[in-house]
Amino acid sequence: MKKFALLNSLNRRRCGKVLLAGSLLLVAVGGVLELPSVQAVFFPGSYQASELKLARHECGMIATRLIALRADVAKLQKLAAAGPSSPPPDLPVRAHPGPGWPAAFYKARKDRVYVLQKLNYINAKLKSMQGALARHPASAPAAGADQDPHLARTLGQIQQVQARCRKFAKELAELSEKITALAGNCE
Amino acid sequence: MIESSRRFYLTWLPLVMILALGAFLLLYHLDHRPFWQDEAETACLAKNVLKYGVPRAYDGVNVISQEQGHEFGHNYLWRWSPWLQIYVAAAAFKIGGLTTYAGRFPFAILGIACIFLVYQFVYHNFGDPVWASLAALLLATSVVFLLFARQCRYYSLGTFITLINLYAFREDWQHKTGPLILLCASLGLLFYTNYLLFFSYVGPLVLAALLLYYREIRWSRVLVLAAGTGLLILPGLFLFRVEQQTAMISLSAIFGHLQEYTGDFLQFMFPLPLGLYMLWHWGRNFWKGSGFLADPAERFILFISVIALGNIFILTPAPQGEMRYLVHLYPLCTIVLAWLICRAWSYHKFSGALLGVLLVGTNWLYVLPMEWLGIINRPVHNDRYMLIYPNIPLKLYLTELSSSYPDVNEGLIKFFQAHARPGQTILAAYGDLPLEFYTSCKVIGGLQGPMSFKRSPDWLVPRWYVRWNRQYNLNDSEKAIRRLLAQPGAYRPVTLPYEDEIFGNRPDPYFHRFIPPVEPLSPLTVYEKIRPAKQP
Repeated sequence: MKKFALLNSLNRRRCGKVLLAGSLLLVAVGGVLELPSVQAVFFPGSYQASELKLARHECGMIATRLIALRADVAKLQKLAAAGPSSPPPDLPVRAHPGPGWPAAFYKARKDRVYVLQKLNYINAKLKSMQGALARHPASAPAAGADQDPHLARTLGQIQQVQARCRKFAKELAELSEKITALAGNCE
Repeated sequence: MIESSRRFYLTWLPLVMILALGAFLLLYHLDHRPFWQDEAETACLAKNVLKYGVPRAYDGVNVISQEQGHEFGHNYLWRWSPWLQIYVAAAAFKIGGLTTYAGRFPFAILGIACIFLVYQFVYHNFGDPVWASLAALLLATSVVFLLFARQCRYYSLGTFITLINLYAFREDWQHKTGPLILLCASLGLLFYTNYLLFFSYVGPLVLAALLLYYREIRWSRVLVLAAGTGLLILPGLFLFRVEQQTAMISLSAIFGHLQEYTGDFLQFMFPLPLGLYMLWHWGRNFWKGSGFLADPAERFILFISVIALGNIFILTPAPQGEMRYLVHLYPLCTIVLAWLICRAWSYHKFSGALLGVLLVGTNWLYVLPMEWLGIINRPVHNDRYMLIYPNIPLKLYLTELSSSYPDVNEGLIKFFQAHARPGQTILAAYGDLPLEFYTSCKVIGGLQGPMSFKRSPDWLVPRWYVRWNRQYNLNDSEKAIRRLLAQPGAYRPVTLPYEDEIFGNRPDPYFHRFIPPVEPLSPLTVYEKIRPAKQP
């Protein structure tokens, strides 16, 4: 029984060592494969793919924040329509509409700036990616030859994200106008 | 004789070699890029200290402000942040002249002192030269720490004082006066370095001491320490208007900042797998009641881990979540990491060696597991040659130092030094403080808040990255530049051969680029006022 326990402990110890060494080797191999110089040779295009993935992820975050911004604007409109809760007799016409207004207005501005900055970045990044791809030798094939399919696909994906960003920008412009109008009327 | 030479090879030779490496990495091409905005704030205030004896935010020409003028009162005395770093920089300018190298030099030297202290601390307390050498080596080769320590800012100063404090804590301060005074003085100095560091460090220090060294605490000494520290920091509490800034604490920011700081900590300071191992190890031992805390080294490792984690929690309601507030925890992390390498080595030599190589030479153990789990924080403004991607950090670092990086502030400084006449006015959307330090122009704009000018500025520097103030309104400088550029025929653009990067030489790994991108996001453009042609 004692011998069995010792054997069990030895096996566990050996397993632990193999597991530790294996995990560290996995990280080491993964790291080598992810080095930019290695990727450029063995997995060309993987960086663009990860950048595009990131841009799509950021687009998802923008979409979520735009929903929040729409809600902010709706709340501001509601507060503006309700007017001051108990207006004093000498209240000026352009009065502050209720106690929730400053916080709601601050949140709307914050959400707006968040979306604006993200959009600026993604647009600039996509433009720079397009420029880099345009300068790629495969993007100017010899006469009669087709464009590299991988390159064409990446350019198509960039355009898709750009189209999505244009949609966001349009919506943001509309919401910004509403916020400006509300601020002008109520502050 | 044999014993003394063995002692030399085991203890002092590795230390000398590590210090030489650290000195090279910290001092080599220290001025290869000019001050960026935050460094220039310290440098401009230090310049004014040489003139007025105190940090004034106005020198008769330019105003130093990044908070819409909230940093000072009617007499322009700087009351936004503590003065110790400003006086350190002023002393360096006094000795070395008003140069980038002189401004950064004392802070880089403090970085080297931190490497020495880490070694000395571990060796002195635990007598293990291998552990001590590994901890010092990890700190000396930590690129994020090196970047921060090469700044004309408080980062290495705060780290140095934290280490002195830990050193004093491990001495017999319960009975001896020297360590008690050192403990008290280091806490006071930490406050005058940056009070956010002080508040975030002291709480967890007390908690960790109560949890792990309760039996050693003498309450009469604690009272003396608390009273002494309180007396030291009391003037600072009023001078730096700490009570006003506590109004900026936001409980709603806690969750977001907790995420940010945890991300920073795991991506750049302490790898997630090792953190999980530590939790598992301590959890298991605690559950078994195996008396693991009887080992003084292990008890101390738990002590500094509690301090590091507590620090993060206390920082969360602070108004800004910035990696810079964690820099003083780097030596603590390297001490724990070195201890883990030693443990791994004693368990399985190959794994110990591999772990050491991964931690000293790469950032793979930090970045890859988080990437595989899909929890990596990689902002949209990224580049694959940054520390947010798997890389060999020292290679990137040396590449940057050995080649001329086209720094955005350098581009602006060189251009205005060559083309602007002394006394001309530059309105900059951002990067106003480096221009104040390096040129003899009047510089307005930036984050200074409302401004007035009788005649339109001679030069405009709009920046691609638009800045908003804390109320999420467009900055006044941005509004003024847009208004002036809307006037037809008033200004002509001049495009400079530099990228309009957001910050320049900012050390935060989320922003610091070592290699310029092949395809810049936006070129740097300045605008010159068009003067009417002179009549013949």
